[in-house]
Amino acid sequence: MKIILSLVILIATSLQLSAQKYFTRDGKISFYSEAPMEKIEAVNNKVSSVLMATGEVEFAVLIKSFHFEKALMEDHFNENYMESSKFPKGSFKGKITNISEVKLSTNGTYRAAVQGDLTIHGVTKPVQADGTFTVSNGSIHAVSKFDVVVADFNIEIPKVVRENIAKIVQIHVDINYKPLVE
Amino acid sequence: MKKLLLLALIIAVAGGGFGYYMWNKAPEGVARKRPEFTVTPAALLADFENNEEVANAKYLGKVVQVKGKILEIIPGEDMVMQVILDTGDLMSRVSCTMEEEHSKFLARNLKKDDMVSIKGFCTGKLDDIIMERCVIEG
Repeated sequence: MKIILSLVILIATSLQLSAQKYFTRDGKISFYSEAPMEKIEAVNNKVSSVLMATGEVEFAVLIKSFHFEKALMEDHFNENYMESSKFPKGSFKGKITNISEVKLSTNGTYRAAVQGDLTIHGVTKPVQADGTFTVSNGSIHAVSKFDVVVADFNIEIPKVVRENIAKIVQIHVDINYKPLVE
Repeated sequence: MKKLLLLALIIAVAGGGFGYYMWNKAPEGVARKRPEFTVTPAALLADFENNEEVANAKYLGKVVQVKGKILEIIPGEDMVMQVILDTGDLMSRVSCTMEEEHSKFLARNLKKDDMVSIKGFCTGKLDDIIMERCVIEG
């Protein structure tokens, strides 16, 4: 009886361990567009993200939560390019493909390859990105940089401002995950 | 003729100046704007949970004033603070990112369980309902 009980406890705890989730509601995603005429930068500090011990990772952002230095940029971004009233959210669903090398429960710094589907402006495309995960006493700091081709997401940039906006935008991801206690 | 030229010059300079000002203008705050909706955190959440699409059409990008109880105050980067309001559901709260100049004032004057009225732009719902560029009302 005791053996069965301890077995049950052992299985339960190991299940719980493998189901460990990491979570944030205050992640940061910013992007940079460097065109000959103008440098554009926007920041969103309200990114929700969940990271599973299995390597699955999800992000969600509100498009209207991206902040620009200039009001006109913010207006054009929302109204003309992203149509944020029609498509209020952006999301990413994917996984760390080399999760066996990224030890989320052991302190250290790991390189991670992430692969998944990015949805912006109602269009979903596969993307790949490299990231660095730093594990420190249960918390995980994840950073990544990757490029997005604006035209891939059916975002049209009018000819008159084409000189001001880059065709490729660099996305920076900076997330501090905390373990989710359930 | 000279007067006309001078006038044209003044108009051109003023026009150019205005254009430059408009181009460089920082995004507008809510301080001087009247709220389009005044709601409780629970009522706002109920609207989003009922039908997110309808709630998006109603609230997105609008100035919303929410009156409720402070669940948590989170000091953010560069002194930008967040005030979290209680909706009764710990998974879906109302998260208000405060205007920078407001944050220092807040640090001294607000605490958990205080009742506040917060006005800001509603940008939608993820887990929390997100309000940006918020100020304290009244």
